[in-house]
Amino acid sequence: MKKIKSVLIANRGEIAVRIIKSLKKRSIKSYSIFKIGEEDLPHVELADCSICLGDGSLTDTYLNMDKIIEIAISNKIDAIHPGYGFLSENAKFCEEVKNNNIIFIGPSSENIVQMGDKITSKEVAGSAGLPLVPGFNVEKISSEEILSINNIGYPILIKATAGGGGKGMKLVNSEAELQEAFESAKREALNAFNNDRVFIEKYIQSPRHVEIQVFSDSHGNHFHIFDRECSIQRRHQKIIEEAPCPFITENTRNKMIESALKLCEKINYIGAGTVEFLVDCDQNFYFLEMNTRLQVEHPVSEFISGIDLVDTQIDVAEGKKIDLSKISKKGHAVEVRVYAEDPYNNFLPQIGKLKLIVEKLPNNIRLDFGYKSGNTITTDFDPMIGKIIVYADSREECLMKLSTVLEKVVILGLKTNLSFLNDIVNNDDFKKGDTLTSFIETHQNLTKVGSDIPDPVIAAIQHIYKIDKSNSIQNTNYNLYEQFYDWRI
Amino acid sequence: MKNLTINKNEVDLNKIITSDFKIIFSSEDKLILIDKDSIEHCFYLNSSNNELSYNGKLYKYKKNVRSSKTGNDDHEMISPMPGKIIKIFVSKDEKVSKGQTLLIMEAMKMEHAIKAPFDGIVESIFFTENQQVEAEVELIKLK
Repeated sequence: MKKIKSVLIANRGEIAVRIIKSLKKRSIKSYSIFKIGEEDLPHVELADCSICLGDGSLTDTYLNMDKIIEIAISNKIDAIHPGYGFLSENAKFCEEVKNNNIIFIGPSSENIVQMGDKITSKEVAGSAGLPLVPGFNVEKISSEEILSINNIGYPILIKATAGGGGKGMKLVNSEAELQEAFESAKREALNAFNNDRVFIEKYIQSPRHVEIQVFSDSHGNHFHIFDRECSIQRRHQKIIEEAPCPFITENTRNKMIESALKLCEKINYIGAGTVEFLVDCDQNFYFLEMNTRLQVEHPVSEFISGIDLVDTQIDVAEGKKIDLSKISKKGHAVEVRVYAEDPYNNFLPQIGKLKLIVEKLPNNIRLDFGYKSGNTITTDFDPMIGKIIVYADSREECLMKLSTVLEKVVILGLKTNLSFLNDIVNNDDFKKGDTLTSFIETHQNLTKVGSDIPDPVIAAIQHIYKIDKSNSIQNTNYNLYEQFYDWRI
Repeated sequence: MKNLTINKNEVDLNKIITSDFKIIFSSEDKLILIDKDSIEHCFYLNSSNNELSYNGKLYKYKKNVRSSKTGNDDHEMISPMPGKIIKIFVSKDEKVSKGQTLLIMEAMKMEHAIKAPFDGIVESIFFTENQQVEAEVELIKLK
């Protein structure tokens, strides 16, 4: 047992900000890191102390294990919180941190190794009695593989062994698409994870993505904080998550929780984790993977359970026994991820200088943002700007509230998915709880931008030009053409 | 030519009678208009960027100061983002058909396939594999 007095957050953006908030509540000194040019980001400003990693690529900065550990040592920091992404599921980092007598706020490196490789994790889950989706490892495409795939049946998914976040993942509908998809998946995998191993898996049709939040302490106690529904995805990456899942029956929920806890016991899991399942239309569920870290969507579980997950992570890291056996769930929570991307043009990432305007919001709303007005969104990092999380007594009420909030949070300066998210939230199928992972593909109309410009918009622009003109009356050489020249649609 | 472009649509500014919409609030960030049916319309402004947000949707506008470019957008294969050319599948003078993948570029660790918008012949390829490209530059020209 060691009381943690200081924590270094080896991350950035909204998750670093969110961790700092829990640290402040416990009066733990927070240290954040940043690269040159990020001085005015919220995670730098909000931390008690922030240390510059210098400039360079990700490998030189947020993925630079030696540098991060050295910062922790030289500042006598007790513990490192890795957040999600970056080094959060890197067993070597976890090991190195511990070797330097620093507490790693997360699972054991053995846990990370066992669950980090998607093939090993399935073997382990299978041996613990969890149901699995049929699939196999693939190194090349020859007649043998083609035959095995035919036995499984198209469509199939090709996935990166070391992957996540949809990178290195390809959907293959027929043999004709196989070779190109296989090569593309390998290239993406190599690029994103420095490992081009891929595997093939049966594509479960009409599936939902439902996960169980688990929490274990270092004394062999394993608990759950209910389930989350994360089916609304684009490019196999979640954009809307909610708790509880509106689809699964109480019976399915209990069976999934039981499975998730069996896995935790099997691997002697420690800390916060997520066991992900695919659920088909008949309430059958299959183990997908386990994430050995805090998830992006953890706030919805916090809302329905009242548990601060980061706070509990620190308890576990300090060696305390936890007891979540008596928790109950109440109400409904929905999270939307706000991305700098153009939903009407293939979700292409967007860059620009952010202008964020937030009107007065109702209660029980969280805006977990990693950027503030004036910050620049670049292509260096994931295009997620932040998350909006809404809580209410019922799902229906929650969606209504979310829709009003989505109009009160205004982002200018670059294109975002805000209006797209609002269209989903107001979609009848979504409201019914018809949340399949294929939702966005089957609702293509949501990704088409309406071409008619409302009259009030034209009137507003008329007025803006008039106001501009009267403001710059003394500046008669004001060149309109120049003003628009560098502007491209 | 119409005098205003909003989100790629050419619009005639004189299409509406501005006096039907009166300003009831105006600041650097916000504009509220009231129409003749007494309905309020709220706009959030980013004038330096020629943008406004209305009912949760972003509108970019510009005045058309000279005739817009002649090319049809669909016929240009331009890079959507700064990134890297990963693979080029075609060579000069090759015949390609509509929808065929011409090259793959990578931006933010995601691959984007650039496909032929129509049947044609490759006239020029402006980059080679592994080359970095800026956003919105022409990658391939078909004829």
